[in-house]
Amino acid sequence: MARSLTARVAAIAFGVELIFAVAIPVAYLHLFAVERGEDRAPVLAIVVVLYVVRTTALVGYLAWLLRPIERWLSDPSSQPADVTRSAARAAYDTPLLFPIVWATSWLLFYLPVTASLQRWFADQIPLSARAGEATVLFGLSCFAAALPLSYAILSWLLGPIAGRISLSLRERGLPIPGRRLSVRARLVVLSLSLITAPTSWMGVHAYMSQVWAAQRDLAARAGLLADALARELERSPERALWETAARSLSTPLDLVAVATTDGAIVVNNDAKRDLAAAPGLRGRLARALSRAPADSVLDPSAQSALAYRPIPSGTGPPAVALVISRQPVRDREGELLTLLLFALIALSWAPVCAAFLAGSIARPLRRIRAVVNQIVARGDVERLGRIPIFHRDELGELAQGVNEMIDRLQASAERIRRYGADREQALAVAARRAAELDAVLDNMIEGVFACDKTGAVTHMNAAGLRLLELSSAGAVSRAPMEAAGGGLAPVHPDGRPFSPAELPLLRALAGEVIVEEDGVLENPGSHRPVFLRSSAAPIRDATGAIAGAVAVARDVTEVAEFDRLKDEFIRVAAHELKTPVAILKGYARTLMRTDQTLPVRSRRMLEAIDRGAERINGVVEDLLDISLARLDTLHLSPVPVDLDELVRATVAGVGASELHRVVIQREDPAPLTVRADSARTRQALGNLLSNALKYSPAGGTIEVVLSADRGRGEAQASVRDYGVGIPTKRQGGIFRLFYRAHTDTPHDYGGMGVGLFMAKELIKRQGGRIWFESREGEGSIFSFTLPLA
Amino acid sequence: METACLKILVVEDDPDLAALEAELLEEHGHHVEIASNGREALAAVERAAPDLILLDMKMPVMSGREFVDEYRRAQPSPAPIVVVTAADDAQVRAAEVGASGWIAKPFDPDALVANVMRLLPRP
Repeated sequence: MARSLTARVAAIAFGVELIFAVAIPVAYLHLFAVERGEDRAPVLAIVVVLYVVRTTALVGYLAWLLRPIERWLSDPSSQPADVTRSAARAAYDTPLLFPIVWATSWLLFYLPVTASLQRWFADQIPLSARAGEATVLFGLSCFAAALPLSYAILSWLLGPIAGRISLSLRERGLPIPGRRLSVRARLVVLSLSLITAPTSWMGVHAYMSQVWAAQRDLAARAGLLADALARELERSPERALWETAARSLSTPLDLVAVATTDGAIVVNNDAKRDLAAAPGLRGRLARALSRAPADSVLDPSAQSALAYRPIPSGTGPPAVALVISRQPVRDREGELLTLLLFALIALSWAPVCAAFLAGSIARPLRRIRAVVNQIVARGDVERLGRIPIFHRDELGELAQGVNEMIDRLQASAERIRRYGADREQALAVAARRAAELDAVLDNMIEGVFACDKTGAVTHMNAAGLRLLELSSAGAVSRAPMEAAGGGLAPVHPDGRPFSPAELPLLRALAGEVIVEEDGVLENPGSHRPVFLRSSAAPIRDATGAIAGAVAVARDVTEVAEFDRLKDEFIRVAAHELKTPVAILKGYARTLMRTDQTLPVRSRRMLEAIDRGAERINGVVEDLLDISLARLDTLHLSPVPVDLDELVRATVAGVGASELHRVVIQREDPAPLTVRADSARTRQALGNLLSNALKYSPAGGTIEVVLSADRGRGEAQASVRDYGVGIPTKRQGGIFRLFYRAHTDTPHDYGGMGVGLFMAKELIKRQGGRIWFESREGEGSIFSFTLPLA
Repeated sequence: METACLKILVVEDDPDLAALEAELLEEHGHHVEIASNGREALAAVERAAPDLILLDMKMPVMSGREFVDEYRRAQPSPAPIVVVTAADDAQVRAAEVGASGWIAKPFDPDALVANVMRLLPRP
């Protein structure tokens, strides 16, 4: 690769040139009428030697010029900037510089050829006296032919490489070096060359043809006169009369004379004078006389020709009839003026045409360039004009292409502008809505947390931050594990850390929906429990996949505190009531028991007091149970218990009146031993039974059904009544504390709404389940299970 | 059901309830002394060693629990104690202080007497 560029350029350039270089010497020989083979040989030898010397020098020069490009080509991708720059300069300048040198070599090439021919071969190869001028003109035509040829070849060869280097320069942000040559200048030079080469060639050829024709005419005329003189002198052998005969034949342009065979003029002194003044002619005459008896000789100046013929004479020394014919005096200045005028017209006409042509090419290009400049400078394509199409040619097509490009640019700019406007608007709307949402969220009492699908918290409102006692900075990037605990891992009030599976946000991320779930965690700042009521749900994308989660948490610590206070109050109050109840009952019973003399009226009063006290005691017991359950201090001691016996004892204990019948049914005769706290289970069952009794009509039957599911390891007891039932719409909160399904209905038989709540609490705490089925007007079935022992 | 006359100490801050308990026990021929708190009870056991102590747990000045601790420390052979309490977990409380029995308030008069009878040391 390293040598191939120079080699390739030289081979192609000089190869193409060689075709013409072979033709040029032929033209040269023809021009100077060197027609004999032996005359041509020295000319061609000189030409070949000169050509080899010149071409070698030119190739060397070319290699020197192309050296930076060769260097750059050795590793185009990682050359330093100066190497790339000098390579570019070489690639751009060589097609401009080298053709000048090259063409100049052709301008000068035949001068030494002509000079050496005139110097050393003047006798053998007589050149015209006009050979100098002709050679200059010939060189000029060679120059004019070589210049566009070499420029065309070199720009064709080096253009692509210059293009490559320019891209490399552009990549590095370097300017493009090298000389600039406008299209106009190129066209002018091209047209000048194209007009000069044939014009000068035709000119020199015509000129030289005229010279040769004139000389041949002269030679022919001189020959005819010499024949005539020879005949004349043959008829009058008297030598004294030769003078007269010669003079009679003379014309103003033809000197008719007689000379000896060694060239000395013996008749006509005018001719003698003329010949003496032309040594070249004289020399040629002498050589011709020594070779041939009759011949024609041309004067090297091409102004005259000489012909001689032998005179057959018996007496006296041999002589020749000799005629020197001269050209008529020509108006050389007029001819020169005409030539000059023609040259001037030719030389001025071509550049003018070229300049106009170049202008018509360059103007649309400049318009295109101006538009491109506008695009580059302003980046604003909206007000760009279109390029008029001047001509239907390649440039017109280019302009059309640029116009289409501008159309596209404007369309896409418009699209971008519209898209930008839409986007701005959408962003503004989004920002406003985000601000609204932020305002709403930040003014919520509930803390709101949102996370993405990796679990990283993406949003947290002001209440959320307060809840977690976080500063807003950095909160968003925290992992939810940290964030949910205020920078510290959240812990239970007993100091146990929360596991991720316990955090509502992460549970929601796993797909769970959490509604109003209460949780307690420890406030790391105050080390007091914080009661949170949380809801959470996953956020799903359009495909239904979980994209994140949102959790809402409310600090219900105050409510919980208040609740606890209330439960504590109930507990203390109930507790305090026990002593007075004990006094009431104790005294009433003691009196009734010990004083047998009591009047019936007093006894009834005491009985009423005892019953009232008993009712108070019942309420007190209920309240105490509630407080125990609510304060989570209800202690159960489960032991193996015979459920059958427990049920019988309970049924006996509720004291069913004679108005109702309680039936115990066993589906399974095997003994049913459950693991339960006997007293608490009796309490739960008692509550169910007393409800069944309360809401059954007089004479109604209550069924208690016992069964066992040994597969699940549990026993089931169901209490069925055929009473009023529970309306469907009131069934929802049936196990809630203080909930009373029949409040303000005809079936409101009083009560606190505690029984079912306690039953549920007691059964749940023993590992059982409790549920019911009911239809209004048809009755209810309340069932519970207990684990088998 | 008749037993020997025993000395029973009733420790109860409510005078009416104390009087009821005393009434019921005296009815059965026991000698009853009343103390309205732990401190008084300590003084009482100092004066005359009782055969049985009916003890309320929640009292001003000195609670039942404190009394039991003091009493057991001072007395090498303490009398059996029956806890009379309104607490829902009377049984647990009784076990905690190492009492011999427990009676939940409100109590049935007969149940009280029966309980005491059962616990009284057989002569």
